[in-house]
Amino acid sequence: MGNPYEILGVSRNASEAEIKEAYKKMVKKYHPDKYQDNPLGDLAEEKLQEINQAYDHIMNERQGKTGSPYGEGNRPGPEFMEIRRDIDAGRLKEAQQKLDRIQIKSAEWIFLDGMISYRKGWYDDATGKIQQAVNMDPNNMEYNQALSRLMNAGQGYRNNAYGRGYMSNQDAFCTACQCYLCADCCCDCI
Amino acid sequence: MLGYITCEKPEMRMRDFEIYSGYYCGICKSIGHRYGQLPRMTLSYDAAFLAVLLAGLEEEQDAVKREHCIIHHIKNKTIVSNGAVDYAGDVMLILAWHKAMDDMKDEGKFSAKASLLLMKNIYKKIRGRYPHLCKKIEEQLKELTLIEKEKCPNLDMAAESFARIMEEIFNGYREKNERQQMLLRRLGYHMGKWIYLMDAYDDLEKDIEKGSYNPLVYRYAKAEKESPKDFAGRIKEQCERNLLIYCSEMEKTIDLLDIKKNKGIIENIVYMGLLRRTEKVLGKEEAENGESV
Repeated sequence: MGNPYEILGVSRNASEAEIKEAYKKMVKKYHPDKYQDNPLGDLAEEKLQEINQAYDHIMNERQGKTGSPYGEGNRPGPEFMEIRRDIDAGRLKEAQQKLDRIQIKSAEWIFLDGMISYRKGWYDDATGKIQQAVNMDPNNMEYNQALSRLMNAGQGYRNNAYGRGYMSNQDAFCTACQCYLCADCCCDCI
Repeated sequence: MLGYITCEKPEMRMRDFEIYSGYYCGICKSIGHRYGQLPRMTLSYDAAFLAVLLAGLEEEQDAVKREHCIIHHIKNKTIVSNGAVDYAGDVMLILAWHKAMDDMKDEGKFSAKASLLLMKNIYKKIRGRYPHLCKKIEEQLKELTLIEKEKCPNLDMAAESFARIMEEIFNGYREKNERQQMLLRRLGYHMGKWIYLMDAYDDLEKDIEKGSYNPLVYRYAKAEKESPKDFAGRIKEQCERNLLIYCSEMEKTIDLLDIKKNKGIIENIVYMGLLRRTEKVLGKEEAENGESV
């Protein structure tokens, strides 16, 4: 890693507030949301990783602790950004290990724990956790969207089936069909 | 596997149905030829789906003939034979062997003992052919026993072993490219979870009466006073949501798999057969109430 102060574009004598300000600006600049589906996304991600490391390094050096520059608010801290990247890349074990090292179980922590479950195929587990994150932070759009995606995941499958000719049991025609099938089972013995 | 994977017959083309039945009969014949008549009784349509799917990923044409059958002795049946059919037959027997072991441990049933004796040599033979698959299945079944003993309240954790077994089964036929292999594993995993939850919901009332472990009782904290029927009604919606998520994931893998043949059959089963079965199992208590009036 290069000089962390140079990476963040601040002087060695900068105050903690100045460093936080610079860090926030840089994160905004290279935020993955801006690069969604963009071929430059990987490069932006590298840059962001560098910035995160630089910030962590300076903060560790100064206070011996890593804290979120966003304070106790709802914005994800740098440690969570890294976990998010692991989850996106499918490195679930690493993500879980990093998550387990964090002591305070904030809404973001529980949300990411739920997202790991989701990626593992543990949908029931994921639904419970993401619901909990939504309860803790009801205004967070991302959590709400993830929850409603999970709640409605099966609906798309069902709609597709109806589009393909599937008929529900209540249908009179289908009852006739089933009578036919029963008879068919007796005569044709599949 | 338990016979949950079936086709939606009214929507299946007749020639597809003929081939699908041909796979079923083919597996039966394949087991009969290689291991004798009795193990044929373990067959279900789940195995036919496995064979149809795995053969569907291969270019080679199936060998199809019409043959006489001891069970359906009136007319000749279409018989499909290929490597996937043999594999599906072997997988059925592996699972039947473990089921018989389990039954014997649980209840010491005489019938289980008898079939164990019968199957011991067959299992040995199959284990020699698929050592990796059999080892994985044995490991996961050990896990499953532990989970059941602990009365695990986490549905996903409880279903994990069976899902992993299915993942190995779908993965264990022939080496494919990485992409196909990943999709097959994913399909198997989700099918395993679906079957596990279907079975848990289906057996709910029976398990409560007998006092056997059922993950749903612990996951949704059944109250002492709650009748099995009320409990099943209360958790129905949540079970349905989970089941349909699995179906939706299976649908996605099918859409991405590079299917060379049997496409109509595979799609019919995954797109519609699974949904029909899901609705049937979930609607069970309603249907029974309706009839009893």
